Amino acid sequence: MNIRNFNARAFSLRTLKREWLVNPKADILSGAVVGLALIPEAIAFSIIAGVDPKVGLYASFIIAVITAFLGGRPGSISAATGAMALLMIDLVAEHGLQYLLAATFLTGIIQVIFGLFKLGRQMKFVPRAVMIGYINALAILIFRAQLPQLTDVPYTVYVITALSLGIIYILPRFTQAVPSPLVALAVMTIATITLKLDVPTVGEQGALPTAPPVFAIPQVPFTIETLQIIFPYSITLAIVGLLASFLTASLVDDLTDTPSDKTREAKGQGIANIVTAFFGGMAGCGMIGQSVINVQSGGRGRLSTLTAGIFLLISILFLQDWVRQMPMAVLVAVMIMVSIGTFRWSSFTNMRRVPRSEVAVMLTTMFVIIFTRNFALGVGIGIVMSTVFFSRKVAKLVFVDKVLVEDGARRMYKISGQIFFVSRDEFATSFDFDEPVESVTIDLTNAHLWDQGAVEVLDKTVQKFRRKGIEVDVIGLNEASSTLLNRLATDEELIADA
Amino acid sequence: MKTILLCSDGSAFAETVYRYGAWFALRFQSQAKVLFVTDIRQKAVSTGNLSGSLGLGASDQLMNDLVNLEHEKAKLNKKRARLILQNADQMLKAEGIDEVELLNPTGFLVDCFHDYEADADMVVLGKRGEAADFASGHLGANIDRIVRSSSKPCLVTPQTFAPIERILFAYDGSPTGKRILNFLIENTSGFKDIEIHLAVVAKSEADEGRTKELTQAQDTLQQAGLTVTANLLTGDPEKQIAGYIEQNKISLLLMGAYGHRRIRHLIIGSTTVQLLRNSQIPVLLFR
Repeated sequence: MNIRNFNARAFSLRTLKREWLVNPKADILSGAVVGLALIPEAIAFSIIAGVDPKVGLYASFIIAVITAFLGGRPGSISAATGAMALLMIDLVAEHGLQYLLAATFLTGIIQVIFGLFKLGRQMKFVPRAVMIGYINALAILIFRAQLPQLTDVPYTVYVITALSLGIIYILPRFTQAVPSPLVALAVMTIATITLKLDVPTVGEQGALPTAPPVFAIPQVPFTIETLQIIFPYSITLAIVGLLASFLTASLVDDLTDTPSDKTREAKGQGIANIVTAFFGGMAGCGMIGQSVINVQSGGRGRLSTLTAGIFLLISILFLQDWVRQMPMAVLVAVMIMVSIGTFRWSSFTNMRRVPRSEVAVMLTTMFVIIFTRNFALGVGIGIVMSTVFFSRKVAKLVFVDKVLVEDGARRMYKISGQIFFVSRDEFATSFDFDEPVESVTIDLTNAHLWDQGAVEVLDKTVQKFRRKGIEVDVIGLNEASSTLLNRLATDEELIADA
Repeated sequence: MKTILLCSDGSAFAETVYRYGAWFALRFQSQAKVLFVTDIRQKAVSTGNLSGSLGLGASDQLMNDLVNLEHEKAKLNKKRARLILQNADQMLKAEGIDEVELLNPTGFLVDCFHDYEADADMVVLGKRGEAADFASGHLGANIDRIVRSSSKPCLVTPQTFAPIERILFAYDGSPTGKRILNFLIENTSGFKDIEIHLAVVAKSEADEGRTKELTQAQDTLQQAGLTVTANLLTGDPEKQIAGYIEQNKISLLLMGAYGHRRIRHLIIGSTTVQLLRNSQIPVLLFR
């Protein structure tokens, strides 16, 4: 064996060890906290999507376990999520679970392809305001999805929800050693059973897992029609899933001050979804709230994610009789906590300090998503708006300095700024063509020509001056600008200048 | 030798590392570089909050908590690193070394090591470190990996310092052995006033090949102007070498880090490990 080879492997072994065994004790502890917290969420998201709770629970188990190994962000938690569940509602309602599984499979394939094309790097085109709008919309939609559980129900439901929220928020003030949502779940479930309260329970919402997931191919006809049905859902699911996962990854990056591999994350999410589809689980992605809980509880390595998944499955299998009798009201309380925790409150308290255009982008993204329930559309509109606002701001930074030299015979125009399609008007209107001068110098030392529009406007300016009998001299073009000018300009003198 | 890299961890072994480092640096007029790696694992701080509950602005709150916690911890770590390196600087200056460079990267010693080892001619590190308990006879966690990954001679120092007067060179005729020979010849100026004991361990007295190797090596060293005593030892290499060190009050052992067999290239040779564990003198290992 070659020694160098061995060292290379030893290095990857080291990376492996570091990602898995940085702080095993804290990882297992926080993984357990997260795993238990995932149970109510997975059930709630299944109910949002309109499928049996076991679909979400199996998905959460498989996605967590697979991303633990293949994800690009150690310490982040991926499972069945609200953002994805909200996108599946129509598909499940119209075509049923099997089509959802097929769509989940296709989502995974698309995500792996995105990963292969290194799409993670393009995340920089999603501005912060859009991200915040997305997160806020997600929080509000999760909250809104709880409202059906709170309408036309006996008053005991409100009492249980209120008491659960009380436990969730007040208990941590006394002790942070036990997860307060779990205490709420346990207390309220026991109360419901002992007091024989007649409230909706989790068991009434559909089947719970009774065994570990088994392999099965989604029962759909393998035809073009099927593809036509599932593809629109899959592409949206894939984009939204990656967006959420990347967002989660960057959040964990920030929190732990360590880097993540976005390409690997995309592939990991994709493979997780592919596998999930074959084990009867719905598509999932990175979870912001749970990842925050994980880091908050001390989780840093991959072991925490793995523990979360395994803990989820084991506890659901052992506790299924209890879970069945869990009142929906306490689940609602947990989800309200999740939505409140997800919401970026600071984006509203900061509103006066943040530039107005960014507030507009954030609010637009948020409301488009809330009203259309389409995360991809909202983010798309947000990106377009940000781009327009940004280019307008840059375009305003065109300054023209006019100096009269040689006893009024020559006019110097010193231009600085970015000349492109948005700023061409600012550029064109800064020249005075009727001035009685003999020659004009356009100094572009501090300017940059970016596109056809810029060359065209310079072209026209030069021609216009020449028509008035004024000699034009263009100086100070930087290399990139003059290359562009050479290729695109039509005026002969201008080309000669460049 | 131009540069000697001293690996420090601020433990009881560090002081000896500096003193041996200084001894070599003075002899060969080398520059001394002190490397103290701040372990990246110290960064994983915990808020101790297992409540699993998310309040309003949870992630902002957590971010603040973590930044504050890490800030305090990092400050302490920085302070510690500064003190350790200052101490190293003082000790080396007191020994008469003028050129001292202090290095304090953050990461894992084994990862950072390569960057710093590359322009060093010799590496000095303690047999055990801060994490090791004081039961002697164990090697520190980093030794094996450092020696394995380093292409430079590694001086593994014991807990206490003793001036180097007699060197034992355990020669086995291997390419590594030849490299040690070259090292001695190239650095004769530093070893002129030191007794060099050359030893070859053979299975029996009648081993002609070994005897030839011994005389050849002896000739080479003598031609270079070194004081050489040659010995052919018979029997178990570990015991023979250890016994020889004891009898002749040897103060430094020179040997190859690996055994002959190819598979042994993956781990430090078993003889080497035994000698490293049991010896009270520094061992200069060659790869």
